[in-house]
Amino acid sequence: MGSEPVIEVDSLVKRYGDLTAVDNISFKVQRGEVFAFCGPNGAGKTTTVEVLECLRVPTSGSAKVLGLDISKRSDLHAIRSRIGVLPQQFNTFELLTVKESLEFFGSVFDKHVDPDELIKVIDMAEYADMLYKNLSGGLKQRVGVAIALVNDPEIVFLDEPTTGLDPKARRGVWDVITNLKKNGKTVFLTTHYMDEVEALADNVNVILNGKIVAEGSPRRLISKYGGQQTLVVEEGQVEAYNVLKGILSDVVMEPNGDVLVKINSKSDIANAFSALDENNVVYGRFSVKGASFDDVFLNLTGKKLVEGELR
Amino acid sequence: MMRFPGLVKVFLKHWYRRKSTIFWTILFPILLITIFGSIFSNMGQSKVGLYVQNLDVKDGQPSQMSQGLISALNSTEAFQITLVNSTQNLDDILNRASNPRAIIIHEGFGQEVATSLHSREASPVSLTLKRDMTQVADPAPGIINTVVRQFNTYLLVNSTREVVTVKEEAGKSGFRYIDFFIPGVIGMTVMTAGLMGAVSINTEYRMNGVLRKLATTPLSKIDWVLGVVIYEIIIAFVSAGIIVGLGYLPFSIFDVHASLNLPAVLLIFAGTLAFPGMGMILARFVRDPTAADAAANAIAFPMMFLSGTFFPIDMYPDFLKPIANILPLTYLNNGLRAAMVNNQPDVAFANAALVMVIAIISICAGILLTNWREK
Repeated sequence: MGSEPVIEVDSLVKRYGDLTAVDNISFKVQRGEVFAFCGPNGAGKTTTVEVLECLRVPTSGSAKVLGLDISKRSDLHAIRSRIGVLPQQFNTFELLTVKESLEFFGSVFDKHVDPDELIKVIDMAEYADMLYKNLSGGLKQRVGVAIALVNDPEIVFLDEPTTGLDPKARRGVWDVITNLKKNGKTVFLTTHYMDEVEALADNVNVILNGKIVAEGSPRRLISKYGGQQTLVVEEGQVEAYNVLKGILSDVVMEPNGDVLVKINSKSDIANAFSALDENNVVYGRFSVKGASFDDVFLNLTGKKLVEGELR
Repeated sequence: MMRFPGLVKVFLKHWYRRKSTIFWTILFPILLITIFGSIFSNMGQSKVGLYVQNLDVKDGQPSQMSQGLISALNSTEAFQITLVNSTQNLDDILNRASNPRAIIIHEGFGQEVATSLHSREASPVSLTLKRDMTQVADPAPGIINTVVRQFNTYLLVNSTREVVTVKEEAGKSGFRYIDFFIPGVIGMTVMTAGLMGAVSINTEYRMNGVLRKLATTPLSKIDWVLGVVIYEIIIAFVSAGIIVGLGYLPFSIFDVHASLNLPAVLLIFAGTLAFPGMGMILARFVRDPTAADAAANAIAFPMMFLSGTFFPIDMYPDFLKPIANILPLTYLNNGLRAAMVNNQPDVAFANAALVMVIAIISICAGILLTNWREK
């Protein structure tokens, strides 16, 4: 990964009437990285990304994309020619086939990639002649990614690319994103899925109420905000709960019978294991779960993020 | 780089893949012509009234030839014949008549027929049939022509040469109803396709996010507007071509030899620029697709009826006439009639110029009001 910033945002503000959607944020995205912009619905993710895509005019502050100024009319064409965009809730002409869609969007750019090659990238050769409206949600989203790549862009903006997809379809989109990174593309990803951030992002900014509240690599944020590791005694039931409650402080039992214990030191693990053994407690698996990006969110906001909503 | 041709291709693909658009742009106008054509053509009665003015009279006596022709017409029993003498004003009578229809046998008819019988080179002698040409399927011309053909056969025995022919003249209105109607239907199609088409394209693609996607590419809003308008122009010409073309088919019920001449083409062109522009203005202010469609309908339907599409504006009550005069479709319809059936190119060009001015204003407004980048 180079250290050349391809996106530079400085003191960006976007207001809609009295509502401040983006509140004085600054950040940089380096060439070749997968940069995640993560937060609940209404946090200002899409507004920010749409400012960078030249779809919205900021109220104040500045933003440069590939060194070009998004506020300068004369730079817009050059920016649009060099970026690829998968908008939120992507849609294209429903009565065009996959291949026709790629041909049309290719024709809009001076430089474009062969549609057949893109169809291979998204692994949809057998759907090339199918009308867009007849595709499943996951496949539609993959077509959207292919269209975003039609001009061989330097930066690809993916605005919530997996929202509403089933787990298999999400994996399919993740694979495409991983390949983009391998091919040296810079990816700007907005999402409210924590596992997506962990699986894909090199760097992440967490945005809440229009403000950036945390930034860094997912691993760094987990170690900073993720809190303690958890010991999981699967199907330990009341027996395990009672035994562990006797020797450790932070023990809870889940409705499914799993017993969870917050670990404060390494000796906690050994003590828990021998106590269960000595009392002949029957249980499923014994494992240690590291903190996840979910915990980062929980610790930053005091709430869990479920399908984009804070709960 | 011109980016709109790709867009036009995309819209055309949607047009032929979406059956409903084919219905509205092609089948609907044909259906309308068929329905209106039949309604206004079946207003006949069992015995058809016919005024006969015989001017071929010498010393108060009609010539033998003219008398023979009148007897032949009478013998069909299809006509209720009323004789009009040479001193009466036939036009006055026709203007008062509910079914204005008259045969005029001009002075010297008998003599001319006699001359024509003896000379193979002589041109046929004509009778004049004056009638209300708005009556689409008036049975009179057909019966009269049959009588005249038999009269010819009777005179010539074994020859197929024409001695007497019937020349039709408008007895009341300028032209037949179908002549009036066909250009109106073309005007209406141009208007609905342009207005409704532009509204539905703009609201649908804005609503489903396609416009937002396009706005992230180098495609400009001018490309978008040009793409929409050029697509509508192509569709309008396809519709107009089919409607006009049908009139030339031998079995056609339309039977209108309307021509797509230069002023007609200019008018259709100007109309297809004017109405999508208005559609885009509307789509800018009414954002919800259903509401926008309803608003487009609320404009298109009254305009259709108030702009002389189906009936001449002269027939409207006085309070409606000023409204007709401010509607752009009125000028498109008037222009198309002047160009296609009345053969008045000067009137057609004047209307075309007016529609073009409206077109330029509405297209410019459409481009200015289309939001490509949100504030």
